[in-house]
Amino acid sequence: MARLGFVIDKKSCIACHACAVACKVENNLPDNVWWSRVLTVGGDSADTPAGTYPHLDMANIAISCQHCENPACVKVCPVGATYRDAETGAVRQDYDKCIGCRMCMAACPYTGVRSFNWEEPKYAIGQAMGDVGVPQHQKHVVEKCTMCWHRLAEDLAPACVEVCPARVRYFGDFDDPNSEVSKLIRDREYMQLLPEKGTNPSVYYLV
Amino acid sequence: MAHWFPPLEAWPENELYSKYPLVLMSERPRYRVHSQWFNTPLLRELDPEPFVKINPADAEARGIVDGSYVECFNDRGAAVAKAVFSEAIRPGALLYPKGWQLNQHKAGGWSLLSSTEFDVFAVNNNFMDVLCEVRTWKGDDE
Repeated sequence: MARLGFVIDKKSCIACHACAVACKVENNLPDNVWWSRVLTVGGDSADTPAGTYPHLDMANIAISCQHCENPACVKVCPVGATYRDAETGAVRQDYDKCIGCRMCMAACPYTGVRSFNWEEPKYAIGQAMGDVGVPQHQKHVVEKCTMCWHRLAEDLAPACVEVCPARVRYFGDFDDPNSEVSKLIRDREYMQLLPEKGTNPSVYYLV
Repeated sequence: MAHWFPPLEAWPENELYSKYPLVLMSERPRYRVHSQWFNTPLLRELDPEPFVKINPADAEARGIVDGSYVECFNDRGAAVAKAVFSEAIRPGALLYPKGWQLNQHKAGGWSLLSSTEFDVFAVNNNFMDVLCEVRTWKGDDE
């Protein structure tokens, strides 16, 4: 039993998108599908600040599935394709059970973390990329961050964590009081996204 | 001895400044190294086309709408790119991420605006020393 999750240091994210690209490559994501994104907290467009020149304010926030302890998606899935893995705490998506109803996408308060393959998945370079352990992407199936499930089996951190050049991403077990992630949220001020939804995400942002 | 001299072009004392009151500058692009990886499909999903950052006050004075195509021009040439309103840009300046190919612009290209003057020692062009004006692009705006 564990509650695996992420700590992301929002103060030091430089929005390089290395996490997003690592996720895309590692998981062989089809064209125009991104499970991990970096958004700007500031102006109307990406990389623009709030305020008026020269008094400005801007931050970057990396967003993907929040792997909630109390996930809204799991409650609405009519076929049990979306479930929370008891052993790791990861919220999982079973492609073979998924009937493509997209109820999970509607129920999830974290807009855009899930993707749906409306068509047969296409790949810009015409060949598979990433890890051989990544399941085949399917048409009419909902997908999202798997916590790099195939890497967990090999005791490796998710690709986004390993690649981050600013070292703002941490991965570990929140049920273990001695883990790095537990220590970080004990010592540092943090926030979770949309706490009012009662989902208790396993992604904590240091602020 | 190190000494200061005014820019060749982008300087208020230059007569051209009254005709072309904006200083056009480039920035290092996040998704390319200079022009390297300009055609990488994965990166083009994140950053699909050329844009130019403009202070909203400068844009509104010219009737430019956020996200519309604009033409940056001077007597040497022009480049068409999407306008992105940003308060991070000092009024009087335009900033574009460099490294796009001509065929990735709707029309023109950034290098068409810069001069061919170069420093005899460094032998590099003055990419930051460019005056221009900007207007809404009247071309093929789908």
